Amino acid sequence: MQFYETDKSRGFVRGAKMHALPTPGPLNAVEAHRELDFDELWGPAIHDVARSARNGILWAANTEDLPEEHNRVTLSTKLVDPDGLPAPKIEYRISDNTRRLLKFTVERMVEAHEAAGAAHVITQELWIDQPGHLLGTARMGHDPATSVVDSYGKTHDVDNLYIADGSIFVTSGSANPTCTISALALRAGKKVVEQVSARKAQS
Amino acid sequence: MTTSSDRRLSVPPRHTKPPRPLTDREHDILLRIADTLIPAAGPNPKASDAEQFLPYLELAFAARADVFDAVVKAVNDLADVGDDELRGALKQMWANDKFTFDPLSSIIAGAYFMTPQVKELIGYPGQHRDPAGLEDAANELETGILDPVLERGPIYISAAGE
Repeated sequence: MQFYETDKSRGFVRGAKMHALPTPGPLNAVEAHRELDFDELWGPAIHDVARSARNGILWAANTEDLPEEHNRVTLSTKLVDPDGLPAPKIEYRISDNTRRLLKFTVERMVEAHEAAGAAHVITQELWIDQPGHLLGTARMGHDPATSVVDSYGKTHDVDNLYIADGSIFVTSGSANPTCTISALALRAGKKVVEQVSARKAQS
Repeated sequence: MTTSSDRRLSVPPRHTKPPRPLTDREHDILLRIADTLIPAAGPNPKASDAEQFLPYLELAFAARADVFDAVVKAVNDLADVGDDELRGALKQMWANDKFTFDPLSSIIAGAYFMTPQVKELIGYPGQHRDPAGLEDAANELETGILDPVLERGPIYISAAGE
């Protein structure tokens, strides 16, 4: 968490949470070496590459995507689902801030590997086959012009509709979000119970 | 009501059979390709000599049903390539058609390295849970590793860095 908070001297805002993970298996080791020349990966060499999985440590990081309006989910005007309803259209671009954050974080993880005596370091700024944490798009706030739900997850536009998941985050943060999602769901749930109880008391 | 056999919506369904069974001819070509990519070396058997390689190859094809047609077509295209020329043909595919070579080689390597014999040989125990003990979090307080954080106390830095 040393690099979690904003430090403007780094050239970007926000930060990352780094974590060491168990080493993936031999096939992951093979896939991580795809950039090698044919003869360095296939043929007799394959056995050594696969064995390298035993000696590896995987550093990974959660990094923060800022709440940028160009990243959004809207309804497609062209595609429909099997029921004929408009399909979700997802627009997502990686910002310059995120690019700088990724580069900085990978450099720190390389330092961690080297400090631990790594003989060989393989870097990857974006792990595109991972789903990531899907957060935002129905962000909370007081102003209906800039937010979808209030601080209890109640939508500004539809009365009595509550949202209690990661979509109401105002920014992604760099920590794993489940605890915060649970806390927000509990907060929304308590509010719903409070309102139902108040109405029952009135009737 | 849920049962242990209910499919979890958060993970793809697990298929254990490829879209169609491979023919004997396709098996023969695949074994030749596999032995070219994974030959015997030291204590390591060549792919076709690994125990249970074919059942694991079937599992690997089932797992990559998304590329089944393209990979099987590439396999059949190599049917008439002689043993002496097979390595060169695969190297050419590697250079010119990664979208076929990568899944083909991934299926073969995935099958080989998941056979129990090879897993044991390379010292790979497989994926398993290794959860932290319930008391580990409390112990962290006693070890002093968090002392600098506790001494520093809570901090807040705005998104703008102020």
